[in-house]
Amino acid sequence: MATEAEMTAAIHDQQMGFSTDGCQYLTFTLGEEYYGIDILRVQEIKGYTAVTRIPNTPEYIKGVLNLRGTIVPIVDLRAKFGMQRIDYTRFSVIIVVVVKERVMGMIVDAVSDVLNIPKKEIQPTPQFGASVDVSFISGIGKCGDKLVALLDIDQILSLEEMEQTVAVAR
Amino acid sequence: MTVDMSQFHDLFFEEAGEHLDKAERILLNLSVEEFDQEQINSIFRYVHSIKGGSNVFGFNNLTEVSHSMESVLDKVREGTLPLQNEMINLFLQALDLLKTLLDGYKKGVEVDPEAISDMSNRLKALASEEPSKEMLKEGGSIEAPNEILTTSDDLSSFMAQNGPTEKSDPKLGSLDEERTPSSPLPKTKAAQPPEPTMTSERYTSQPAVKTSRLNGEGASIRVGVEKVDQLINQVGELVITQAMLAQTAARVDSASYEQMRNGLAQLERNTRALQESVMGIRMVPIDTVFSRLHRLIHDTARRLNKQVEVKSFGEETEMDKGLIEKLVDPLTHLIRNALDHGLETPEQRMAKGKDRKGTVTLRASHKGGSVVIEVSDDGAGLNRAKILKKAQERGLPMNEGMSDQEVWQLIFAPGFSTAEVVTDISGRGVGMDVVKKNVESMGGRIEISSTEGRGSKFTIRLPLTLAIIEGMTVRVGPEVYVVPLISIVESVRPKQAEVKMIVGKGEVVEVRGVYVPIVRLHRLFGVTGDLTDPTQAVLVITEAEGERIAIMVDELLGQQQVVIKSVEQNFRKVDGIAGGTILGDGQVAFILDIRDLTKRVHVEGAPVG
Repeated sequence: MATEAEMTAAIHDQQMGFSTDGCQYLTFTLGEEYYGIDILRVQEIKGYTAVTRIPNTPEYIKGVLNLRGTIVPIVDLRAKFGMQRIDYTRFSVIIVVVVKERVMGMIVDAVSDVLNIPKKEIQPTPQFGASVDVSFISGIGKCGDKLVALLDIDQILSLEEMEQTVAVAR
Repeated sequence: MTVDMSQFHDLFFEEAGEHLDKAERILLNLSVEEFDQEQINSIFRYVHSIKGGSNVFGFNNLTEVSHSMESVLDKVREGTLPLQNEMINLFLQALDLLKTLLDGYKKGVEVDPEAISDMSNRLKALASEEPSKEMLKEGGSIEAPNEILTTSDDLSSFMAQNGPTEKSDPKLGSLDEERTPSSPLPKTKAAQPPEPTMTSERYTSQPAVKTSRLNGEGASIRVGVEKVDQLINQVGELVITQAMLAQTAARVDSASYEQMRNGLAQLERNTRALQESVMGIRMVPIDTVFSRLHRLIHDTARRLNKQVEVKSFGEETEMDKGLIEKLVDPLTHLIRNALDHGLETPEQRMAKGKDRKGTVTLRASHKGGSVVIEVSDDGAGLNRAKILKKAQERGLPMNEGMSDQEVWQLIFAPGFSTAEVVTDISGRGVGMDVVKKNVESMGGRIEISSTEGRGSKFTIRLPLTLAIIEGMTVRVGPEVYVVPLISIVESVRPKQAEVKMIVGKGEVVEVRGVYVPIVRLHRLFGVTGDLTDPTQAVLVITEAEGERIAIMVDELLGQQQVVIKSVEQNFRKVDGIAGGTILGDGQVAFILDIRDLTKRVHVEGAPVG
């Protein structure tokens, strides 16, 4: 049950005609699907350039890049989501984000619009069962007739996963 | 409207700290017989400056003590108060108190009020001295003390009554036991640890720094370190961009684009010059470390009742600021060792026919791409037999036939010490291995040379900057790696007969009778190398902490200076990798961590063959 204060605030919002916690999301595509991340976390967008492999790291950590003199790790989102791998071309895009004071990049197929998705348009992520890990999706946003899976950046590029070393098969 | 003064505190603390350091340095170099008027003037100015500043901010205790000290200094510089050895020690203690007070204000900590009033009283007593009769004898004119001393008639009587005594009786208690007629210093209850003894190991030093330096401080600007680092990064970027341009231009048809090529060549020269200048900004004279050591030597020698003369050369040698701070601990330890173990007591030295006073020499210079720092003493030298015995007791690998060099290296083992008595100065055996680790963590090396009975010399070799190393770029399959040049012993293409398989150890290569394990990088890093046969490939033999490995690579690409970039900053530490760098084509290449790899092979026995 919403408290009085919450109800008041919601009514205010409707009267004012805008949502106080509508977030702006940068949307991008992986295959046919749309994903979005909080625009405030995005540092820049960069064209794909060759990445240097890091030894003994999981598949989804593609390697590191030189970003104006700083070494930045790059995550392959397709690999992370278990999607089919493709060859990255110069049309592929790297979105550089900031996660807990670390700068990291994610490779995506293409970048799309910046959408303003009000909170009420966001539905909780449906559970697909134990086999699929959807902890990094904070919700499904609806914008027009598009469904955008909103990603929790801190979950995707979590430190603990980064710390893992994968032993190389001999 | 009141102005918030606290924003200026930091600046005052920093400047006051510097003034105190500089004043201390001058005091340590001060010799009662032959001092320069300018030295006294400078000390006076520094103390006066601190007094003024502390007054503005209401740091009353600081103002009080510095004011008392200033009064005494004023008399000395006027000539109404002759300078004496115990005064120098008092001044040093006063400076210590000022430092403590400054720290106290910085951190909001109270300083023992008794210590403050004590020092103030001592200084005030000194300042309210009547000019001595001897001085008035000189026709009543108040001249600078050194002029009076040169009058031969009164010299001997003056010296006899007022001059420093050569007594080296360590049991002298408080100052007033050695009171000279003209300077009755009151009994002290100093809060400062070292008791004010009159041991007059005359502390002299041969400064390569001429007194004229005290005058011309030169115009300078205080700049935050972050700004300098940012500048260095930006210039680093410029160098990389320029390298990329150069690479692209090289492929262009030279005839039609002659001008462009010339322009780019010019750009390269300009960029290199700019980089050198910018890297130079971070360079600071090693004097800042040496001067701190002078004080340490002074105090330690007193505590040990040894007579020391300190010589320093090459103080103006410049080093990267980041490295300089890291040098203090290792050098401190080496000096403590030299004073404690190396130098003999004055009696022992006399018995050996040596000069009573031992000499500790600090020397810094640039040699090639390195900074070389030497700490040497003319003491007893390392005792080979003792070291070997100790090594045997501790079960360290040794044999009688080891060369001197190898024997000296034994002292770097953890916990090693041949001292019979553990003092708080040294002997606990935690020192030398830490010194070696510190030096190596700076990318440097430490060497020892010693002659029994004559003395020892410790040489530390460091790269000019922390951020740049000389590297050998190598290729393994599609990947390019950088091997730090300082770790490379040699590179070989072995013959079939030299490659052997040893059960339990894996593949090894025989180099001059020693078996060196072969490390196949592609196995370790999951990279597919082109070549699998060592006799077709190149083996880069590296050394870390005395152990060698042979890294198998497809080819050697070249040698270049590389700027080290952090991988941990945005990712994490990767095993076997020391950092990253950006090559001329903009790609990231990893720098191998030789120590890591060597440990994995030798200690953990990771199967890499």
